[in-house]
Amino acid sequence: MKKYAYLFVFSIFIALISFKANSEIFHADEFYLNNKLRVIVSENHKAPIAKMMLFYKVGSMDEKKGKGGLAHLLEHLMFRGTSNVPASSFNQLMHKNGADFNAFTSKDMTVYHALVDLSRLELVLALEADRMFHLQISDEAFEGEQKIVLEERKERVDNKPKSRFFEDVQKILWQNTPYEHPISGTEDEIKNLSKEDALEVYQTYYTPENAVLVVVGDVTKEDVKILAEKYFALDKKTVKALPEKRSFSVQENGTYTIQKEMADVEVPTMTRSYIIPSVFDNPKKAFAMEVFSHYFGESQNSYIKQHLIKTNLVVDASSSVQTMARGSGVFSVHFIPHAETDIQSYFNLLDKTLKQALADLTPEMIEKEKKKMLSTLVFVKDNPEDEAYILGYLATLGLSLNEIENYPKGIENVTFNDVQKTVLEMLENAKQVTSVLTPLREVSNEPKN
Amino acid sequence: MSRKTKICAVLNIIFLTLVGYALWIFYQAPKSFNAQELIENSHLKEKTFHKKVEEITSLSGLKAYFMEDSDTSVASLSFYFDNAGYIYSKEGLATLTSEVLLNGAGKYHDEEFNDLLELHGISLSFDVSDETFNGEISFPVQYEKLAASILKSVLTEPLLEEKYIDITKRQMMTALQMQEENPQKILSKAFKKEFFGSHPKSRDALGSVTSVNELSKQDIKDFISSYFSKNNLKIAIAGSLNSHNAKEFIDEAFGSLQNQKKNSEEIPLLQADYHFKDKHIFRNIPQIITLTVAPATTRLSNDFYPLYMANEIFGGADLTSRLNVVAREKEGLTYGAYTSLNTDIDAPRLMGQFSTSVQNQNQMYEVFLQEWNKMALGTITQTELDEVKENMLTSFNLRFTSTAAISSMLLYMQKENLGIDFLQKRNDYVKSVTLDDINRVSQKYYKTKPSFITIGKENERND
Repeated sequence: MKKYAYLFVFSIFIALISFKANSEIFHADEFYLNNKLRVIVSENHKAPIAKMMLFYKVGSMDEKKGKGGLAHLLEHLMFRGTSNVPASSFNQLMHKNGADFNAFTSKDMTVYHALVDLSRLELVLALEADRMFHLQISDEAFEGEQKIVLEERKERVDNKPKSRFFEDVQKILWQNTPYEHPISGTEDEIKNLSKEDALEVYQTYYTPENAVLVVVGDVTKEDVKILAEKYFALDKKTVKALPEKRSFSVQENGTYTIQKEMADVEVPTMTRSYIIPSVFDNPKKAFAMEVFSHYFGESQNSYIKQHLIKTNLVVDASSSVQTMARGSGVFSVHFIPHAETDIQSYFNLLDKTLKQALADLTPEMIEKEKKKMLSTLVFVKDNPEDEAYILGYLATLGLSLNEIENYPKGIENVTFNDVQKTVLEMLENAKQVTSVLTPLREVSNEPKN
Repeated sequence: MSRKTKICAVLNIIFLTLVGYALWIFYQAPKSFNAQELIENSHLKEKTFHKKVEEITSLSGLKAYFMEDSDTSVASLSFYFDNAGYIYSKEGLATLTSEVLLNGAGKYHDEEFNDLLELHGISLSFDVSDETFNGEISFPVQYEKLAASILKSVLTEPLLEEKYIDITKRQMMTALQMQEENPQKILSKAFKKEFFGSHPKSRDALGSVTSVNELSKQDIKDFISSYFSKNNLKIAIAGSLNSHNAKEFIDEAFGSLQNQKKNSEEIPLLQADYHFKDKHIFRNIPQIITLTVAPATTRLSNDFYPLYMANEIFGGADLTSRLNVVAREKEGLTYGAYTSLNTDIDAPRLMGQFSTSVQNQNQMYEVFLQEWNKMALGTITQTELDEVKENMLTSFNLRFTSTAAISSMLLYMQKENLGIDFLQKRNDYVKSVTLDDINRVSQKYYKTKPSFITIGKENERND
């Protein structure tokens, strides 16, 4: 609710691509309660601590038209009291007991989490369960949090030209899909939300069967089973049938360009994004794109670094890929062009570089890239916070534990042909949006601030 | 049925109804959440973290703080060169060096060098602070020897190719321009100018566009030969290796460094200005962002723990601080107002930061000062003190999440001279703070009105 509130959950891929093939990564266990709550446990006995994360499969993509920002506002309201733990007692209890706690909302999900001393895990689970079943929203709390999320939006988006532009670009990239709205909602939308709206989302989506509980730390499966049964097994909540599963894939294949000059922008930037298959649309293609992006613009020796940065054609460049999502995936290339150069020339450079990178690709390069992606596997098990996040994130998207444990196989199985075919297909058919943001050209006679 | 019986029956019915109603109320009423009882009967009990910090000395005489941990399969080594931060050399030079070191060393040119790291899951990074030049290397433990030889190579025979120096300089200059897009960054840079004046601490770690432009390969070579040495080196190592291997690692990585750091230029004495005149920077944004500063104390002073706790109560403890309870929770004025205690030895300070819409700024400012002034009156209650202590004691083990977090903590212990037994003593320090201590310290430090610096549209405050 503070730091990560509407962060795009991209960071997972850095960790994910580090898995080694053909072996279980986490050695995690899972079980379901009678009320269908999915619980995942992984043991990490390095220190007497535990990371608890509760994932609800509801994000900004589930919001009705005009109700933008609702999932995020509800996330804030979850800290404002229940019938058993009124007002801000939740925060006080968590703080007093040394919990490092927070929450965040993305397009796909809403996540509550706490890192705690082992002796306080039961308390944290009891409190988390309590707010799954007994949330109360007072008028005062609702109005307060509405003001707070408006301030949050200003702080994160409106104060920064790049963030405002990013929203415009997302609107075009995800046009006519549930991803087109900003996670925070617009200012007008936030102002028009009501307490009843928030309660409706709570009643509909904050149910055991729409959630995944993850505990990683100095615990056993039995410990967590006892505690989960004790606090989460309630089924008093009037559970409405969940709305139909909301996922989508973009079929459109248009080419769009958005160019803007803005005040307070100092450095020109350029991004090209392609809509690509998610791991649910087509796992083979999704994994192929992950390997390609690593080769093209993520690795320390990426193609871009060798051919664009070292040759001084751009100041800096990189790529990123997101295939683990409820909606479609996206592959992006980011450029920082030289300020004095004509921006149009970079359109050609981008096209040319992507095609050339594909032409220069060899099977050996693919093998090497895969090896790099799997080499840091062991670090995932070194940090219970990373581990809980990855387990819960993938489980919430709907992957089975087996699929999660064997994720590295997906990378390992990628072939040279897969990459060639997938990237070529993307270049020819995928919807693409190129966005260029440049400094406002000074108009004479007007003093510059 | 007699009248009496009738009355009895009616009374009975009324009585039973009342009892029933009372029971119903009782069952409907929220069962109060008894946190204390829950903790006392917790299924999982408190455990002590048993791994110990040792000081090890390598064959060549290098010392390090070390924690062995067989529950992981990785290791991390953190280190710094003291008196080698960005205030000691040309502006931006320390940062430029920290970047260029990663572009090849010894027999490995950039490409092979980075392949070597990535193929073995070794991560190596450097960064700079005002006082120190810092490094960290993490690796799967089976590549311990390789990691040590790479680190040695980087520190003693970096390639420093002109091509990469130029690339990095361009990227640093661009990053400096990008800072000007971020109001928060503009504000903190302006703060440094006001607070540190002309002292080198007022610099940005990246330097300035002009200074970076002028840096050369010779500058980097001079930097390395002046500052990379054994007598200003501090090392911490943690993870799945035993003390014998840790010592070998240290000797391999650092054994060939020169013994003595060269004398660097004298840094002028810092006289930080805690009382600069409030300043406003114009920027066309919907909020006003505010930074505040007031005097504080250093890490080893007797006032440290009480003041640390006072700051937690005032504005350090996220959602539950006095400041956030009033400004955020009650009034909805801000997404968050936060304060921190910076124990910089030359300029210890209490810092605050908040942002709010232009129309709320006056109220937000008033709330901040009102809560600040309450602190100056010594108003901390026993309950507040107990809660902050409980927080510090129960969160003690959270510092041991990852191996890299542990090695950087072991380094911090050396940087602040906390002593090898700090982890055993820390909770006693916390417990020993009394209500008198904390209120005395609170009165002492919060009596000074903080200085303010703001960015946004016109500042309508009139005082």
